[in-house]
Amino acid sequence: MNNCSMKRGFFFLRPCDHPARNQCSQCGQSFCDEHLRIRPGAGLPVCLDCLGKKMQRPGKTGTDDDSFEPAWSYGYRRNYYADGYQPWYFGRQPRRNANDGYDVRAFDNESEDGIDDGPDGEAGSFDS
Amino acid sequence: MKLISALRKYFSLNAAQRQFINKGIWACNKPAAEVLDFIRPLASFDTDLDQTRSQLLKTGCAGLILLFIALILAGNEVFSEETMNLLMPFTLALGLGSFLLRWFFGSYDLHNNLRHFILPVLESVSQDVAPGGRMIIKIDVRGKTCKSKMINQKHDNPGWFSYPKVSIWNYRDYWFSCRAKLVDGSNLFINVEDAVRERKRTYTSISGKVKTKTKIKIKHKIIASLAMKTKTYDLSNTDPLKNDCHRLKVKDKPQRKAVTMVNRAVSTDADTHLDPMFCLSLVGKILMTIPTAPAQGASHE
Repeated sequence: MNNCSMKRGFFFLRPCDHPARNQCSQCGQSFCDEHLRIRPGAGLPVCLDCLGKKMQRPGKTGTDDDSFEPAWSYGYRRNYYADGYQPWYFGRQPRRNANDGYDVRAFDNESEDGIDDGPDGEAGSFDS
Repeated sequence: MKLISALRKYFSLNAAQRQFINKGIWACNKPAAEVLDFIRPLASFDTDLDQTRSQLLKTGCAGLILLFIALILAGNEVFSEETMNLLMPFTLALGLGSFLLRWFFGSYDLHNNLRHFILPVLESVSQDVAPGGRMIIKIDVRGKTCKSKMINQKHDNPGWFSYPKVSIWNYRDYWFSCRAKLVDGSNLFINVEDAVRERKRTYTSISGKVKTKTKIKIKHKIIASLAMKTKTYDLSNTDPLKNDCHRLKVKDKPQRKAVTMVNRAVSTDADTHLDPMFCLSLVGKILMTIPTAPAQGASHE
């Protein structure tokens, strides 16, 4: 079984490492349980990206109940990138993923997994 | 009617969430998921409460109009006395009851910045918090003109029945701050503060009437700062960022450089909410402009 096709993150994208469970009824890609929702009424699985895209309408920022679902931020992310932001990408996949259509940038000096989880030697970086 | 939905959502909140509604202040140091689990139900409740208050305002107005019509009908003796005895108290209760209920729910109403600004910003930022990382959050949605936020006041009162009288109140509202370590090792700091100026002017108009006008001006200051690792990012030239914000500050640290961008916005309504893009675009601009540091040993090849 392949891994989930969803990209986690907002400013920094990274692949979801959970195994895919089901296919999205709209985009046809495979996703894990965390990134799939059952569409109300239709009873079909839809990924958070497709669901978020529907929630985002121009100029809408969190007014309805659906805005308080995690899917909302996936749609918001798509709109944010449309304004010209290119997210950083952690991972070994190609720079541009044809399926989700995001233009991404990769770190030149990327570590093995790219994610910094070491101890923070400078927690108070903003203290004057 | 949204009233039932709002009440159902209120009673499903936990004690800490209800306390936040009463006090309007919350500070925490928690994992991102817990922060969002705390705020999402509050934002959902606040949406329903706003719609309920809007519906109650309309119902109250309709009740008072019906009462007025009922009084006219009573004067013309259109209906029997028994019908009027039922109709009059009903319309009076509908009108006044709706306004009283609306006023009562006002104390539970949180500032719209919670669901229009704070929640979208936290939803976005939380996705990039380092694994196992926590978010340090401070939220204050008590209102922009509450007494504890007043920094000074000035009254120009020429005396009894002498006009114009001018009073000015200045407030400082630090209503949102967020600190988190991101997946790339940078430390993110977001802070939003408002400088509020309320001006009340009482004067005599040309026709001789005494009138009072209150104006409010809010200057929003949005600060986004990223303390970035110098081994990951090449922070030697931050000049291109100067054109993208009102103020740029770069602070050197042994292993990091803190890039701080400040943007300002002005509004004239205390209930206006800030667009989350004001804040997220600052972080995005820093990350879009700063290149990565060259790979170690690359210069020797």
